[in-house]
Amino acid sequence: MTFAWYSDAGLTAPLVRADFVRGSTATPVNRIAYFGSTDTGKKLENVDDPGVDPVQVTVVDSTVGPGVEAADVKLALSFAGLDSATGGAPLSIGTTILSGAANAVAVFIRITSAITTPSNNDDVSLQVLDWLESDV
Amino acid sequence: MAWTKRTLPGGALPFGVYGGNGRWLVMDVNTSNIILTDDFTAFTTVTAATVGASFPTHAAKGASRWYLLDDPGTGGFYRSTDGLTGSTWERINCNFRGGVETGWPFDAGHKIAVLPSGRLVVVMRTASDFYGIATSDDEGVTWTERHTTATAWTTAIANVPQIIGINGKVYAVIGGVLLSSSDAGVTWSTVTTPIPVLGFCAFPNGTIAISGNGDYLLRTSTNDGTSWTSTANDFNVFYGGSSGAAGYMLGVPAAGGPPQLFYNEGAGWFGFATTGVNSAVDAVTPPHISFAAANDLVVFGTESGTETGLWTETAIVYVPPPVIEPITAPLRLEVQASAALSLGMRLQVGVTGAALSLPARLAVIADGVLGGLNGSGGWPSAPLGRWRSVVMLDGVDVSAQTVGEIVIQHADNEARTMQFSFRPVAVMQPMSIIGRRVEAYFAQLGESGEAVAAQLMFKGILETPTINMQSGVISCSCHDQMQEIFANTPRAWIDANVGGRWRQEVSGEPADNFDYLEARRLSVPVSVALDVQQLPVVLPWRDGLAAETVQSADMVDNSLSVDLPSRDDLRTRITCRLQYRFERLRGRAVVAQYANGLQFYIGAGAIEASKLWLTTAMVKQSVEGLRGWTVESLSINNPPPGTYDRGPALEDGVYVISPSVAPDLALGFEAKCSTRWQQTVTQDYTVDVVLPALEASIGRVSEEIGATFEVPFDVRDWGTDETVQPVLALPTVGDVVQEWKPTGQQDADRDEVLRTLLDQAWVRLWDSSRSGRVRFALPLRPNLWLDNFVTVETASLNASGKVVEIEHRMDPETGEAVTTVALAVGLPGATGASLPTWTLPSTPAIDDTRPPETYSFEIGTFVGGDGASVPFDEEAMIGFSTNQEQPDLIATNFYPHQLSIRAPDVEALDRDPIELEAVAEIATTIPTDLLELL
Repeated sequence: MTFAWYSDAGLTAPLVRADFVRGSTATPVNRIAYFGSTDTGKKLENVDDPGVDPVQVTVVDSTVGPGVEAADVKLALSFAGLDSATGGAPLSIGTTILSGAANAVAVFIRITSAITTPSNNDDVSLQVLDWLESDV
Repeated sequence: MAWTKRTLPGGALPFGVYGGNGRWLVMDVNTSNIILTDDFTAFTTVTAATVGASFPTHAAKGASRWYLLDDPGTGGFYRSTDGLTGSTWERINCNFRGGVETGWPFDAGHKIAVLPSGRLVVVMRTASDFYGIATSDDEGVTWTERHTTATAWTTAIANVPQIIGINGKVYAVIGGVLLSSSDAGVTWSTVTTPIPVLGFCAFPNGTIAISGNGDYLLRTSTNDGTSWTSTANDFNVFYGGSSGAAGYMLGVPAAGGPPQLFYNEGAGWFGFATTGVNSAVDAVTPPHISFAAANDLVVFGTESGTETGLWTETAIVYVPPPVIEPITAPLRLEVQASAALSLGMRLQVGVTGAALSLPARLAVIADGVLGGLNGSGGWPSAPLGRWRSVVMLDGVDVSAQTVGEIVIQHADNEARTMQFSFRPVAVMQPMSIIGRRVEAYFAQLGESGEAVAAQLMFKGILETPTINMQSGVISCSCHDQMQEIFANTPRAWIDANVGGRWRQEVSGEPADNFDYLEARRLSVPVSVALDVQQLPVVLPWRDGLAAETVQSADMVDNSLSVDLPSRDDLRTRITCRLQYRFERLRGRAVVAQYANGLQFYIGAGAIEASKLWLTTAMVKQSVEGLRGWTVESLSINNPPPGTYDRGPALEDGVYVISPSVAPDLALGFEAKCSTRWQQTVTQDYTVDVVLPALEASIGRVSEEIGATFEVPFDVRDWGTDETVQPVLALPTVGDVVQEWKPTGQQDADRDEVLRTLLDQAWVRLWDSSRSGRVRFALPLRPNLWLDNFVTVETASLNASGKVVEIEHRMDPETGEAVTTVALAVGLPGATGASLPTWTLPSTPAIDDTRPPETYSFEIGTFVGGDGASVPFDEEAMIGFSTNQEQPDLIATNFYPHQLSIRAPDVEALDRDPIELEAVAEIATTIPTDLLELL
């Protein structure tokens, strides 16, 4: 498996966790994560119907209730798209994602949690499910 | 086959023969009588007077009577009143074009045909006003105009009209144009033919054939003229006829002689021998030949020549192809599914697995921890002074193993670095250290020693580990991969977020996108860095930054210092040099002319001696030998051959130029020549961007930046091969200049290069002024970063500037945690200024005006062998040098008999590189900062 999450568009710095830091005033916080592969000649598709069904990024809340809710997370393919995104909705990032930095997908993320208590909230994650990586 | 000569009564000369199938009518040109016969053995003569006509010329046989047209004179239309006997006739007053033609003035060149329906079709050329085709359905009483030719046709042999009905169609030939009608002559259309039609016939199988006057081809078409095939022969074919059994063409040999009759049933052309019939028929202008073809006989006659008369031959019997009755056998085609409807399948075996998960953390920190520097002297990040560091190595907390200080440094345009040491609890192999992910946090120390409100300060990789083999401590140098990340950042992101200008001519080709970023950044007042999450960030120098205020109480005691901008760092003037170099493709066309009169060569008696001639060979050799010039054309004026008097007196003699010699002699010539060359032009721009006030204050401190923008022209063979692109459009005489500036290397691109330099100059001026530094130290503030614009307010200093350097230093062993900040401060003033919109200096112009002598060839005339001839000077005597044919007795100087030509040189002004200078000075201002010493 070569596809993964990265901090930068050039897929240089692997991203093991997307950190969002803010004060106790509940304001939205944004960041970008990049999804792709630095290998050559690879592609990622939906395993159910490769090349037809889209590959999706979903928001998973491991502990419903406390912490950040899935609905607090908006995903989009552009910064402007965050404004109209629906919290918790999956994001389609294409039917076939080719490897290489030039084909990396920028995923814009916004957390709108109302949490004000100083804390580290690690209960949400972004997940790419049902993937199939194969040679081009 | 053999022709049978028929003897006509009264020595009649057959002008025309009509009819067929057992009844014939012959026109006698000798008497104007008509002769009727059934078998060409017994004849009945009917005089023209009996008919009522003056000169019957054409007739047609209907089903039950004859129809006849009269020629000029009384003209008129006649029909027999006794059936096909033809002994009695009546004249018809024709109703045509709204009037009654009592004496229809038929002109020469008309024909009449009877269609199977009885409809009469006439090709006529009246003496009055109608040229075309008319039909009659009441045996000639009423006529309807069917087709009108645009103009009259002549009565020349090449335009003899024809009209033939065959195969359900009617064909007419008028003035060489072939017309056809498929509706019995009502409507007509033109049949496309490759030549004007002279003879025409059609075959039973629908093929049509034509001949042209002097064409010597029999041309056939099986598709009504869409395409034609030709059969060559030696006969000029004049007449055609169709009998329903075959098509016939009657021709005359090219050399004259007996005519030849060709027939064709659709299987090729065959000839009837006519040898001895009439051996004196002219091939080009034959006499009238009477010709008719019917199913029983083919008849032709001649009215003049060595043998006149009428001959008959049995017609070709048309044998239709046998009708083969079809044998009917019912067939059934049963269609059954055969080939499978295939669907290719592929089993692609790839890799799949668990979700590609990206955990997210929302770290909420009390606002107070992140609070501003408000002069209260507090330490929001560690309110009680209790802090701890957290160091993660590849996701493993190694904080407990850290030894000594942890130092994290940030600076504009530089990677964030971190140095720390730790003593591993177990032996670590090198590859488990190098390149490992490193994170560092500053946190409040909880009651149980846990980290509270931890703030990320560093995220990157471990670059260089150094192991102290005595203590086992590993010292680690880490960085945030800034250069690597920017090198991999797409140019589109850089263009959109950094802005500015970039030109390869200014910066060269970047090694990677980090180089590209650095080059672009020179033209816009921004810095770049990675934020703590390793995301690229563009940091403006002034606007759009997070404002903070620092007062004395916030600072570590005695940590405030100021380094003012040094003169060494400052620039008052940046000189921008741009050399834009391109080629001008130049061409020049000239005409070399030289001429002498005839008398110059042949002399004039005793007054003027004759001279040796300029020769055609000399001209060609000299012109073609012009080095560097292409001869576009050469025209040599040869003397006309003849015998010329050398003077009025007999003893002056004559001068003879024979026709065989004249082409070798030349009175003069005109040669059009051209040449092509390149001229390099350099536009040299020198633009100073100046801060006048600063220069007045500290004197001139300047720096030069520059670029060379070369537009190469390396088209092979251009200049020697005038067909190589770009081809210059040369005038007859004069110059043409074409500047070689392909797309991407034109004036607009040059201006963009210059603007790039000017932008860089302005940014450089501002940057040089920002060399001042205000430094101070604070109790560690992990969230203070390069995106802060800090105002320092103390009793001794008011200053403001962007944070350009930060160093966080944590020493868990001593409990010291300090952030040292450096602000960039520029010239005092606290005023803003924006990057100017540049007005570029005007482009220097080139003076291309040249005096006309630029285009002059040097070709003089020099005569030796004369007593007055001076010694020959090869350098000075350029042109035609010759000698008197009879030299003076006192002559001592004789010249070489030759022609030399000196082509005009391309002057240095047109050939040498051109340097065009443009000098300008632009005064500007840059932003200044708050910098007050109190």
